[in-house]
Amino acid sequence: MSQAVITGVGVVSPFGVGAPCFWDALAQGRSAIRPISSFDARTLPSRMAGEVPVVDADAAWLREQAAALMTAAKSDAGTAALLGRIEQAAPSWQELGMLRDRKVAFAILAALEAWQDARLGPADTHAWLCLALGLERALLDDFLPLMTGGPAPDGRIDWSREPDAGLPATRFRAPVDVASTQVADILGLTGPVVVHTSACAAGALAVMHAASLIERGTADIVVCGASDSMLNPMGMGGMCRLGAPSPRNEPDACRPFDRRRDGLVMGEGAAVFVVEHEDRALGRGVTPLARIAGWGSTQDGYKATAPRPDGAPARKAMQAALARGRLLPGHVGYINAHGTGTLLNDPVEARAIRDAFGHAADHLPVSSIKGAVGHLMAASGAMELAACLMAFDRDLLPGTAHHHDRDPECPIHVIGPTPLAARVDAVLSNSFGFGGQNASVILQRWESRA
Amino acid sequence: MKPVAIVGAGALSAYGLGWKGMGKKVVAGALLAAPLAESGRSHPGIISAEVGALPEARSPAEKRARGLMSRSALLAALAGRSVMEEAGWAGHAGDLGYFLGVGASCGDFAVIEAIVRASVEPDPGGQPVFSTPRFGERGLRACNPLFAFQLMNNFTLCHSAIQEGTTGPNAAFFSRGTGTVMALGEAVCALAEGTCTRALAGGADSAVYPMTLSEIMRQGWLQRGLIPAEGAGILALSADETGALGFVHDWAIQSCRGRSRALAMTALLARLGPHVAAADLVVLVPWGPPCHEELLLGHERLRRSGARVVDLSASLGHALAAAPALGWIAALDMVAHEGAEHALIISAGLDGDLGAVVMGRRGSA
Repeated sequence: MSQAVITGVGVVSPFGVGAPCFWDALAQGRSAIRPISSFDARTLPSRMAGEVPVVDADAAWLREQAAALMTAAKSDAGTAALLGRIEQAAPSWQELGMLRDRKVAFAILAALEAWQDARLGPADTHAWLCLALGLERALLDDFLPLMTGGPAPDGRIDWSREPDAGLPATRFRAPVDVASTQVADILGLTGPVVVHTSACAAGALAVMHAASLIERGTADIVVCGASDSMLNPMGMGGMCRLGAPSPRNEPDACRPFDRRRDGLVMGEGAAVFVVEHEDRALGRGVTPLARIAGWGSTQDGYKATAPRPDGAPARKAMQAALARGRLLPGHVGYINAHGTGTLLNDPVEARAIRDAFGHAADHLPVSSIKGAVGHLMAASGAMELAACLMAFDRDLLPGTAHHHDRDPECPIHVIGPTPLAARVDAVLSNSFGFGGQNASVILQRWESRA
Repeated sequence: MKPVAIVGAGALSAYGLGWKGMGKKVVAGALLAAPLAESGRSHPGIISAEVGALPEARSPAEKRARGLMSRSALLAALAGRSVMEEAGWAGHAGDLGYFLGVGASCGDFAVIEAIVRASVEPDPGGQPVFSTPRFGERGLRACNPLFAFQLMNNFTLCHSAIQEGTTGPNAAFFSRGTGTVMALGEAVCALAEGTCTRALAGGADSAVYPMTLSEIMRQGWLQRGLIPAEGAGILALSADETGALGFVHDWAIQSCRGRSRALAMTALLARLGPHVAAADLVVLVPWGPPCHEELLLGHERLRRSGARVVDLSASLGHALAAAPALGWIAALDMVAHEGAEHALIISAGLDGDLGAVVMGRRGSA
């Protein structure tokens, strides 16, 4: 049995900051999909998203949210120290342009909440950090001062103008690893920092990696998870150009596994976990939230533009997770699907689930939260694992927002918009990324062996 | 750790495509750098170690596939093909694992220029401003619909995986050095755990991409002696020792957070234990001369053991995510072809942490 257990969780989601508001919203079957407000998206083909409810995730917002999180948590010297670091650092981050990428603030807040939730302190700062982060945010307007030709620029970038352009230190693109560096600095971590960048599978891979490190004895505690935001002109624009998002600018834009589905809807946010060796956690007097029981990863090796139609690699990822966890298909009580709501993904995943679970799939509840929060890209796997924890905490399985008429091409048992009350002991979460990277993780209800 | 067989390698660097003889060239220490060529118009006068002319596409399909690739992805794909052919795995990828250290996104910069150009409009005062609405209306149309596949960092791995048809365990690690060592470590662990029986591991990157060059210049690395480079290095690892060119005996990552690099180096060498004394070759992969000096602390201990110490960056500059992998491959060349018995490759990248790989000619001590 795997010894890797989750002892803390932090979430920044389109429902707001904090894991409780995320779970409350899912438990109520709510959807956070609404028109984008953090930038002027009016001329983009798709203008709906699961957007964290803040227009400008700047230093003031970060400090305010961090203070609110710390107030909600146990107040002690360690808490005060963490808050003090943010109070001190946030203004300079702002000035240096580090917060121009929203996912930086999201990652910091989610990590803070997870750290507090796990009741960690100075004795734990040797922890590894395994964070999945999305693509750099492109800061296209920064190029303007470098363009030659005056009022009618000829469009050539003259890099010799850069030193005198008066641009912030973070310019042209936000570096991938800003968020991981800031999280490590704020928490005072001295262990290795690993950044996963495997697109939609990255968040799950980061959690899998943490569990592996624990199992191998390489680490006894890992802060892991993911943060992403593509809600910016180039991020949204690039996705629109790919044709992935639904062309309907409606709140029900994303309808996973529904006959009328026509694309995904973008989302943003962060989910961070503390993963520890079970003995360490129990020795600290902490009750784990779940056990990371099994995991598996595969690649399609097929096409950039589509998943492999037979779903075989996706099936193998699920089977690998079952095998590692020494579980049979019948042991799994719920699947949190990748379920993007695109025409291609959903039937391929459904086929893979049927092939992996056989007859057990007839009654195995499956849902996707992407209709409610959007596709969080690199953060999706981690956010969806956070959603899975609700199954153990509240005996409630998340519903599938906007799913009303199951596509016959998706012959699985899909939970509709209303969450399903059920007590399950093991849940599986799928993440299938652009480029064909597949990851499946199984969480098990933690029970004392005493 | 049970030694893992290396049954092939693929490398692309300023030396060109191929790895045999690479170690000798690194040992000879001649810096292969010249004023920026392809990117010369972006940053004139910068000395770099660029990859030269690339092999032509072998088919129309490959030419189309290259159109979707960033520079880094293309370098990885070429190195990936090379290592697959050498290992005899081409066309038989199956559940091959693939773990790669990748850098920042580097989509075709001419396309980015075109997008920005199309998104500019005059404000009421006649001054050009970037207009998000105009970006949506016109700027987006300046790029290929599949441009996103050039920008996504993971596609440095995925394009190669698609080309070779690999379907096993995998991960892309963002790397300014350490992430690449992590990629090798995960490949080794996957083999040890039986998750796969064969795996590719390495790194690919280009430090001469205009935005990357701008960043490292702004952060002061060039002024401190870093010579930007590009390349890709990939090892083929196998649970089957048949045809082994060498073996990975150990690997490690050492965080420098909260301690000096010198102390971190001490901790790293302590972690490697007897491998340090056993080494007859040490390949250092520092980001530049000041870092080389910091690593010399360990060098003095190694000098007492009589190991030959070479500096990859002194010959090939620093190719960010690709640098550690190129160091491994230079060491492999010395192990496989030049009589080295036990090599220690120590890398120190811009991320500030240390990585180490131990490589030996034989599978057992």
